[in-house]
Amino acid sequence: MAFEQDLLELLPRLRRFARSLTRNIDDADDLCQMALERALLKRDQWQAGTRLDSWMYRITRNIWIDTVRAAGRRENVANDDDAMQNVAGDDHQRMEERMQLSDVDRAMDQLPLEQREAIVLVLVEGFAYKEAAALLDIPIGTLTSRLVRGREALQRELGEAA
Amino acid sequence: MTFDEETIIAYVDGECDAVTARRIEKAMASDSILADRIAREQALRSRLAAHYDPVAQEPVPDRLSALLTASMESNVDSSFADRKADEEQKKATRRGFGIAQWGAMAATLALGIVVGQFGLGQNEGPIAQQDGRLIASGALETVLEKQLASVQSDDSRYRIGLTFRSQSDQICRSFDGESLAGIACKANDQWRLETMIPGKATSDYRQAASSEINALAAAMMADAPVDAAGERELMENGWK
Repeated sequence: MAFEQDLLELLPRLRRFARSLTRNIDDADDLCQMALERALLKRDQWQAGTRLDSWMYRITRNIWIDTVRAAGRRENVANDDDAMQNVAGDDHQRMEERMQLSDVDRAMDQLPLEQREAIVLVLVEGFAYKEAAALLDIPIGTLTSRLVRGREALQRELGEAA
Repeated sequence: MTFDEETIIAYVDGECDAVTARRIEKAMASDSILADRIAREQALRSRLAAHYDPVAQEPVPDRLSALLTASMESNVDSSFADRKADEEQKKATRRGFGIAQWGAMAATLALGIVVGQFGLGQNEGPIAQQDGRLIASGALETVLEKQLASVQSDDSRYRIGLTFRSQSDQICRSFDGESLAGIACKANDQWRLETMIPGKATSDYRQAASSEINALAAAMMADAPVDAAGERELMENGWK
């Protein structure tokens, strides 16, 4: 019972994390739902005494990556983000969505997923470098270089937009 | 003095050691470019937080919180190991007049109401009487016999909860419906009703009903409830 109660308390933060990954309200709540379902199913794998938020974020992030891959969704996973190609892409609805995005959304949207998740975990969710790196299964050096590149791109985008 | 990008953002993110932080602060006092640079990074942090924080203030959609509250109600003892560990404590409770007895007593009291509503002997209802026993009939019997909990639809009249082997070595299933909820166990090709309480749509319904059923189920279990695959296997074997 305590497990569900802890998840309930975590839910507002989890939704924030999901929103920053998906950049879309409905996708984010669908993602949260899938993550909760998986967590309930795999609750035995969570070790009491370890951080439940890290465990949940990891589940959520892994499902999102799977979703993106399975859907063949255009997601800036690679570093060579080609903005022109995105604009000229065939996904008309997505283009319209982009036009309605705020500056921050648009800037985040330009980031490759690997930079975006690093930025979100540290700058928005407040994880320490060590915790964020463990959650993402990457060395701290990789995390900090993603943070540096992600921040540079955001400063560039938001500096111009401001 | 110059600092590399990593060091600057580590400072902004509160990841610097104290000595480096002091050096940066000292340098900032005389280096306005560095000071601006750090101010910009701090502003970025604030801007992202201000953008995403309102999401965490939004009310959580019902469909997400309901998922967890439903799990709280249906998860009697998610881990069988935990249940075993609690066994001694439960036994001690049972020796007194514990929850199982109170639950059974409540169920017995409720039974009068339920039976009164359906009228024994009319086999169209969910309950029938045979050789002095109450058995499931009609739609309830069909659901108990043929419905897998893993694939049930929301509009079914009865929903299956847990399926488990009882200490008297019978397969038992808990169910929940508008008019009736309870536990039935398969014996001699019949689903015998072990426990019944009024369902959601009745005036006697209590919010705690489903957890009460789950507590009674837990007291009857010889083993952990079966999973979806185990349930399918049992159905194929006629619930034996």
